Amino acid sequence: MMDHSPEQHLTYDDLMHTLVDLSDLDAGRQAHLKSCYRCRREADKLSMRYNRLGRMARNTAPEPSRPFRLASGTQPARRWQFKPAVALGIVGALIFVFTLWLPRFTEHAGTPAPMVSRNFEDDDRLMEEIDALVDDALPGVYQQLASLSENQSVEDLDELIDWVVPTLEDDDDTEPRTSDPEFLERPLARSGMKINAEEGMV
Amino acid sequence: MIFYRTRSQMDAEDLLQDVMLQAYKAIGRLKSPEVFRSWLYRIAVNRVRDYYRKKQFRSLFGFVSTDDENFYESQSPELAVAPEAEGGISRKEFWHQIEQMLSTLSRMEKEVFMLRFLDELTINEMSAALKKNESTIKTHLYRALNKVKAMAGDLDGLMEGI
Repeated sequence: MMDHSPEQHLTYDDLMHTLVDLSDLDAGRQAHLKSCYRCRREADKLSMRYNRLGRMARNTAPEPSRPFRLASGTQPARRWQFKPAVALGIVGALIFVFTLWLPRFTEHAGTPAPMVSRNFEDDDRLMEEIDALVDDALPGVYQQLASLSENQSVEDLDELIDWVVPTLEDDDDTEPRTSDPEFLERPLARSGMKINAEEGMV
Repeated sequence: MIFYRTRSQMDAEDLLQDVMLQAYKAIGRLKSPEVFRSWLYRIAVNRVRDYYRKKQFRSLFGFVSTDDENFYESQSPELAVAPEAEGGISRKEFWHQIEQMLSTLSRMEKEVFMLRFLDELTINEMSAALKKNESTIKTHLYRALNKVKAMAGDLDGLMEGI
């Protein structure tokens, strides 16, 4: 704000301040306005000219040709008129969101009690299987082949072994068996020995 | 107030109906009776803005021509009668000069000028009606006054002596 001497009259800008807001004028100018008749008259004149605008506008504006009428049934809107509907809408939306998303939240948020017990059961079963393997690594089918039951003896295994690993004799079916008399006679005859079947070997 | 801005009696009356209806419906939301005047002006100013927005939109499609020099007068038969206004100028001439004067101002300057000098609202009421702080209102008003002063010589009779 410019510093004016008290003797200096108000400028047009100062007079505009009186028109808009007198408090915008600095204290020195306000004091001058109070004491100076000429400046006060100028301020009043300017104010009157602008006020005349408003008066002329009012006088020249036509009066409404029809009175204001309200349509029947028009009610002033109450402040809380739409609140229940809004509240219901919010509650509905929340329920929808929870219904849709709650299962996903629970999956990730934590493990429920039944699931924990199921996990423990699985763990126990796994440990049992591991223990069984440690005790007997062979599967049951091979165990029957390799081990003897309580009422089996080693001799019983011969048949099995013969079956699994056949002897050379068994392989050649064309060869005569050792118990065959024909088979027995020939080598002995070659060596000059005679066998009497009834008397035995001489 | 609405007529000052539309310069058409029919449109002004339609808008007045809207403003009054809107005010009646929303009266329950008014916080204190002291601000009733500025509150009513706010509704009116907003409705006039909507009116011009719609008119501008329509003019894009050629429904309404706002370029016509006699647009306002042709819609207001009361002005054509032209009784004399204060200071020896006719009613028609008065509004023509007001229109000429306001055409140099920006939208906000025009609004504060009209609210202050045609509608005679205080700075405080204008601040509430336009939802702007008082210093902003004053700044626009000072700018508007300076522009009006600059063209006062062109406005015969209306702004004589300014």
